[in-house]
Amino acid sequence: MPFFPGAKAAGKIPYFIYFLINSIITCIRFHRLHSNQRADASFITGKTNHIFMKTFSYFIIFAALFISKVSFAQQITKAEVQVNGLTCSMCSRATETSLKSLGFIDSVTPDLNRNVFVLAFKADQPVDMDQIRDKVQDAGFSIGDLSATMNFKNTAVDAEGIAQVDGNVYQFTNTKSKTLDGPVTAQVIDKDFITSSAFKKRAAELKSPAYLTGKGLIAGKETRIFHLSI
Amino acid sequence: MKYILITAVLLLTTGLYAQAQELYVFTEPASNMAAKSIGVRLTNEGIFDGKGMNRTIPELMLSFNKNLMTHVQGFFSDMDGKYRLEGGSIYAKYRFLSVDGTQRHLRAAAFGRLSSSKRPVYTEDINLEGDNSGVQGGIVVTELLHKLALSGTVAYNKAFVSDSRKRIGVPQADQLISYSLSSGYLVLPVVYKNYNQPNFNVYFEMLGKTNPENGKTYVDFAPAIQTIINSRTRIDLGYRFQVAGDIPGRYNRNMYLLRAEFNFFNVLK
Repeated sequence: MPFFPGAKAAGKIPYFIYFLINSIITCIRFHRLHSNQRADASFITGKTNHIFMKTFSYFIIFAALFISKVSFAQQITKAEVQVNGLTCSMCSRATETSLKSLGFIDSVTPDLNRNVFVLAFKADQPVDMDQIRDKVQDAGFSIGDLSATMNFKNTAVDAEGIAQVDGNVYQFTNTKSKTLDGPVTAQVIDKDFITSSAFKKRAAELKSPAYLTGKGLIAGKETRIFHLSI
Repeated sequence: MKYILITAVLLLTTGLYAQAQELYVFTEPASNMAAKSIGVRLTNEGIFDGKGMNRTIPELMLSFNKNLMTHVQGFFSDMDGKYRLEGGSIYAKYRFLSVDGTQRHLRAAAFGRLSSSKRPVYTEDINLEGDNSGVQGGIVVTELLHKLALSGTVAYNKAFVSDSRKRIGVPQADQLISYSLSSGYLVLPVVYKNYNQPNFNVYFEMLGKTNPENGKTYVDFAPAIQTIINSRTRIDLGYRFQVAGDIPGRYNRNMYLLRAEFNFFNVLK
């Protein structure tokens, strides 16, 4: 018999969630019992033995972990990084090796003639664009352009052009009071994500202290703000 | 002057149609290795001076961060009879300027060297890579302008001359100014496909030294070829020869150089 309190409402929620929650509760109750009680636990019907139950419970725990991981929706799916200051394949290889040391990068595909690296990200880890910048600089070069493909899900851009997703704060320079949905290619225009001359030009246009430092007050807290152009 | 003009023309013409490279054979560029990388070099210098002599230089290169790197060298040679360890050197380079653009950059770095050598002093020339004990400090500026790369170095060299190493009748110089102008370009591949394509680079460098006390000067030309395998391993073959001036008794007046370099990127923690 089911132990999920709202069993009768099960029809209103997807069956697998109902099944999962029900199974987890069953397992938790099972684990709380002393081993000598497990064999004749009243809520386990018939001939189900506790070895099977234990295996099943671990399976459910793993399944739950897996499902919770998938529920982190990777927001930045791809980035194209154009690296400045290099012309040789040894320099490209050093840059690629440096980038690959980042745990959230899944793959790096270089275009050696254009000095562009296409980065694919792991689905289950947040992307830190500042670390990408640091790794390119560690190799001895700098980012000339970083264009990221971002997957928005009904993300509101407020009247100031600010949007917050998964703890990241984005300041859009050319859009405001709008809802973003679906993939959007955005260029990061912060310092050291574009050439220094392009940064100076932008800084003169934007006249924003947050743009100069890449930081600003969000809800009273100093926060990293990425400036995006879409 | 004639040579300088010829060289300027050479540098300009080669630079215009070729992709420049700056992994110079006889000098170091202002650019550093990638941070947290290790390089291992084995260099052999063959000196055509009378009987012919050889010097072997094992070298370890470490880059601590994007701006600071160091080289540690050992010197082995048969120049005083038996093949033996004759000294060592520590070199450090700090990149203090880096301006990047699309396929162009300007870098400047300051460097210093501390060397030791057991060799007796036979010449006024100061060579801190094997022949003399001393210190060196200098500045190197490297510019890559789309397809033209140039690098210039100026350094002050101070030799430590101990009495036991002095030889009667050999004039002693305890300081020299050294300078160089280098150019390099990529011949192959014309179009990159992957990291495994071998690269083939050609270099031309001018190397000079002047004794500020008596004005004695020499200028060498040093052409070199280089291949890079798997974008990781580098093989250099170069030759330097004197074209102007002289400082008597120089060891590296006519010298070939053969080097293998192996790079291990991002291996230091």
